[in-house]
Amino acid sequence: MADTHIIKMLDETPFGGLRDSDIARCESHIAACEQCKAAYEAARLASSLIQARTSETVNAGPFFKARVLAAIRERRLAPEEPVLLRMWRAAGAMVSTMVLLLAVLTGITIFTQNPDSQWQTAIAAASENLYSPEYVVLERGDRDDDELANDQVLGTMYDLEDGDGQ
Amino acid sequence: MARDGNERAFEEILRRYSPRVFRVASRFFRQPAAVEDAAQEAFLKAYTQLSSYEGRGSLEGWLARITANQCINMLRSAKRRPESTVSELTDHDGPWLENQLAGVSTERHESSERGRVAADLAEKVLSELPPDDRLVLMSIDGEQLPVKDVAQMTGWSESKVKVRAFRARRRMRQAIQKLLHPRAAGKEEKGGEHHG
Repeated sequence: MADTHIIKMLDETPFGGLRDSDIARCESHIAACEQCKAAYEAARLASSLIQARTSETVNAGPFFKARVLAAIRERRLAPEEPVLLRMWRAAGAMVSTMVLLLAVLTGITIFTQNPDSQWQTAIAAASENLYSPEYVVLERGDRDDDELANDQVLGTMYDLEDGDGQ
Repeated sequence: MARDGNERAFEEILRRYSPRVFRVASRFFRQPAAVEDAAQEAFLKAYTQLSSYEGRGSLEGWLARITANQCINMLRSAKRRPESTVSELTDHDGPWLENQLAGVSTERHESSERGRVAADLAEKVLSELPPDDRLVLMSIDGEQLPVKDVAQMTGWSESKVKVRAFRARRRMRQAIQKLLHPRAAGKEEKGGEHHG
């Protein structure tokens, strides 16, 4: 049944170019197939609309020739731009973006490879400073925790020994 | 002579080929000012590129190709949006479609008013298609140009023209189906592959 559907044929051939046998085949098929019927009606309308639109043609106005010749003269009289300027106008934005990107990448490369840079020195100094605020707050807190834990361990050990002795 | 910048010779080209150039530009634009602008730009381009014309095909075909490319570029760069969408029918469009469905003769538009309404509606539907599709539909389905001529005009291969025409017809048909039966069109779009 599927091979008798006509939608593909409607899309392949201009509606005006369908032969009588094709039209007959379409009409017998659409009597039983709603989907193809809708497609057939739409294709017929599309063809009508295109024909109506094609029949409209604008003709050259009385001053068209003079207008084109004036534009040609104007273009001829205009001083020709230097080749480099024309090239820059065409590719300027792309070239400047590439140069900017290259400069940024070069800067990043140089900056990350130099160990004596001020930033890296500052980071190193901060990491070795035992009296930094981070050290005082965090490390001291840990030490207190450790001491408490040791006391607990010792107390537990003594308790165990006492238990054994008894 | 025109190649050497002879204005008189170019005047002759203008006189002889203006109808063809205007016919091509009219496929893309409807407003006379827009058609004239496109035609003028096409002739200016032809004047500056005349030295590159190798004389292989006809000068008329070469000019048609320049015009078609010019119009496609103009439509693309302006990113023209249709002033009204296909789903918005005017007071005239509805009766026209109903008459068409009732089987009123479509071969000859009985009055100029009817023809104008049909052309308005066509423009609405066509302006939603990509410029390439529009060119192919207007040339093959409208003017009954052979695929070979359209291929020559656009510089595409014949198979590309055929594929373009196939897709353009489907899009146009689906746009009209959407107008006529909005729900059924949605179904067909989804199930089109099985049905096609």
